[in-house]
Amino acid sequence: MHTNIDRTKIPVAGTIPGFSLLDETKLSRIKLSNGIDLRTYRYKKLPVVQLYIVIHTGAYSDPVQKAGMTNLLSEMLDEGTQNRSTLKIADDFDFLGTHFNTWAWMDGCGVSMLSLREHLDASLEVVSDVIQNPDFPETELTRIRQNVLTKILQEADQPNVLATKAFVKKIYGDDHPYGYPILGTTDTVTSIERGELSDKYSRIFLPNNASILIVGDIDAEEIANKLESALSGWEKGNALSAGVQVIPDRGGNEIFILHRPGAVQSQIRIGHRGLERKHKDYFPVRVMNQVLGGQFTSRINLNLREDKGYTYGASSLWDMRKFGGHFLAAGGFQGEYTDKSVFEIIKEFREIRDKGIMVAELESAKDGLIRSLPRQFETPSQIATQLANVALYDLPDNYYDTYVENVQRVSLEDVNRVAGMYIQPENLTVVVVGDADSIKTPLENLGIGKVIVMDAKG
Amino acid sequence: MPLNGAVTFEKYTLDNGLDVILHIDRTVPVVSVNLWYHVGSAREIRGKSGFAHLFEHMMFQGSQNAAGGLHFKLIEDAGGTLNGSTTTDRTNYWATVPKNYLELLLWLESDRMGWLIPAMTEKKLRTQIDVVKNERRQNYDNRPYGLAFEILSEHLYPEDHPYSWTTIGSMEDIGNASLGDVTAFFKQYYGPNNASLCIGGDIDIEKTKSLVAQYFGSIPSGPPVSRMKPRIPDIRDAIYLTHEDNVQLPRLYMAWHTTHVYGHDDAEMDLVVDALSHGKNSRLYRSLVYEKQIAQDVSCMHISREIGSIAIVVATARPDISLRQIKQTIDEDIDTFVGDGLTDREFDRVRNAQKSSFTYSLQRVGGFFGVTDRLNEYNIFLEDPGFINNDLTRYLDTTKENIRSAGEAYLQPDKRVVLNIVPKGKTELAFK
Repeated sequence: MHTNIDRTKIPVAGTIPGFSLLDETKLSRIKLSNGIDLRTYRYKKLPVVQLYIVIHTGAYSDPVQKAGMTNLLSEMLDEGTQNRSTLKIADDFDFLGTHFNTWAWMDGCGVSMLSLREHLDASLEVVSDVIQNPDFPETELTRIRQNVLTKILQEADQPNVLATKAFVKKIYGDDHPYGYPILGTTDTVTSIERGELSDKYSRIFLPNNASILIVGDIDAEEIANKLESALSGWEKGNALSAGVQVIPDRGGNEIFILHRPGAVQSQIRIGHRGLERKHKDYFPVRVMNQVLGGQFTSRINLNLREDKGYTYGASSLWDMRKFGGHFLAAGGFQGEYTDKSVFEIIKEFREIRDKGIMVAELESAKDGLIRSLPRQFETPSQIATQLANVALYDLPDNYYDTYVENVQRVSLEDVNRVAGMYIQPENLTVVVVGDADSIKTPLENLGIGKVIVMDAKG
Repeated sequence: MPLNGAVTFEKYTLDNGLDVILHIDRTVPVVSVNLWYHVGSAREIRGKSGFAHLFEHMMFQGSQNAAGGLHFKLIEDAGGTLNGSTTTDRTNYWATVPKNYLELLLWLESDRMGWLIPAMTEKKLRTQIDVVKNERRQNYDNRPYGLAFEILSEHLYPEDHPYSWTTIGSMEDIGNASLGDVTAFFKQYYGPNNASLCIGGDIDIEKTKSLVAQYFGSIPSGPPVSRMKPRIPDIRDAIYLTHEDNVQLPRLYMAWHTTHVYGHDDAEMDLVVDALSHGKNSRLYRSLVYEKQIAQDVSCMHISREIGSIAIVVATARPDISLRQIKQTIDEDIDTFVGDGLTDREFDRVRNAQKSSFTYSLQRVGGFFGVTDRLNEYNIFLEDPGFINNDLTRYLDTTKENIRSAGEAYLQPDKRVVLNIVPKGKTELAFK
């Protein structure tokens, strides 16, 4: 049994398993009579059903002086309907052991539900009530609004949240909805009234503006019939269309310090405008970012964590949304190494832009992206998330069938081209939440741009 | 896995004492390797706090045949994901990769189990000391309320109890760690006889057994490691503490000693905390957050541990609300709860929640709390991975009276530590 193995050699992997990400025979797409785009995937391992209802309009549609409205609307959905009080809704779900959540994001909002198969009908009844008949009771709104305002107040405690909020504000400016937090601001949330919520509800919660994703132990026809009857009262309408807002140009580097006296660590965000989700260079940019900062062994983390020990972790990200996006590197760094951390991150930006990447890095990044796919399709919520992504960003139905091919096709020239085009180390917005008294002068001495000190709230 | 049926697995033990658990799940063509070492910060001594966790970091820094950096590199290139964590009682490591990379994971795991020390260097240790110090800054020192658990631990336990410090350790102790400490700790606690290896996913049983034998079979046993015995202190008079922090809102913590993991009343206390704070209709949420609206949030946890569990209530006050008022409401609600017990509806609700959560928890094979992690947990603490199929009955078969009386026995007003965390300069918001 104990055959000798040669430990000095890395074991060679056997054949790559054949795997279709979404088995065609388990997948179906049906248009329900009131216009709902229903996508289902059959999952048989456990007797559970995962449901997402995705509304194709999000916080992007909120006027900036009413930032936070879509979030408040989604939070109010399960706070009372014409048939059920807020406590009754919660009790109905909890009694069934059904998990129910509402959510809002820039490009969409909606609800999610996970239930046992045996409790599907009872759970669906409550979900359909919440979706079709929310009542936005004034007393509950007062409580929920106060809850949101308190959350906003508490964000002042979290340097990482402050840093990201200040960064997006600088990138998108005061007039673009992406520059505002999902929760809104104290002023905007205070100003939102019940009538505005019910009006917004009637303009975005429309069956013709919704996709429903179902992954579970139920076949497509059966769930389609259940939804037809559960949502039969949900009527079509004209969905609100949000106009495209222009993202302002910024020229040159700027460094903003949000002063937190005595902070032992600096939260740093460095980046600039990015790309929209459906950009033609999506795949080369994904591959490039794997090399730069998208995973543990990326250049930025290996340099700043594993080599220098300045941080517990540093990464980079392309946040690609429906109407634009941004690029940033982020992390929390030991206060005394703030300037060195900024310097090293910008050095990595310059390196990849000017010199590109190596063939070995290209192959690793592509292999990693492709080989990571199977484990991202294991659970119903993972599969539903992938389906929701396709629906929300209006990606082709065969998106996951062609995914591997699209990654494979990315060449060294593609990556080097997008690194050269889209990474702009001379056009950076740098936000540092830290102790200005000790980090301002070192940051000025870097000589990369003007340093502006603000209070901790930006 | 059969619907509503048992989780299937096979357990055997190598000659060197390594427990091996194999679990087939062919939902997707991946395999997860999960390895528990039965050592956590409870094995540290005062002055060496944080070492078990620092050591976990060193396990990723390369071994004799897998050079530093290769561990992350090879797994990420394979499209895999990996992590590790340290608690008071155990350290775990896991990775999930496409099934054709199983041998790679076994090579990496066995090499660091058998041949870690030859690859250790002072530079690697110094860098990871810096990384861990930054982890401490980020997750404890620089985080709102980040020191609460450390303060509670110091006062819940006497100085010589290993739960009196936290797994992250003190800055000073982390900085003092030496290569000699690394070697001694490894020899004492990282032998195969103190570990449990669970492999789950799309695997071939016979082939996997043969690979496990080849890679792990020749690693020598370490010294025997005796189990730690529960050591639950008795608090006679309530302890009240106040800590000023960089926060907007005051927060109240109450902590009580309970039982120990899988001990008598362990499941009942899980149900007590569910009834108190899970969902809008739970006792504390409903009164503090929904009706009186004096708290922003409230949560209640039962932290089950090997030598002593604790129950904790945490409530954040709304602006301008004093913690005195929060405490009074919590005291009244707990008093009513332990007096009258659960309603029938509550009793059904907390058990249904356990039942559905159990099914939901079987969705993932790998990762933290995935099936492989749970099989290892049952094996390490109970020497019986099969308990995964019986655990739920602890919750379904108990009675309302058992739950009530557990609450009454442990949640006594004079047997707790109460910690007020208040904004700097606002000690008037604290209780006492």
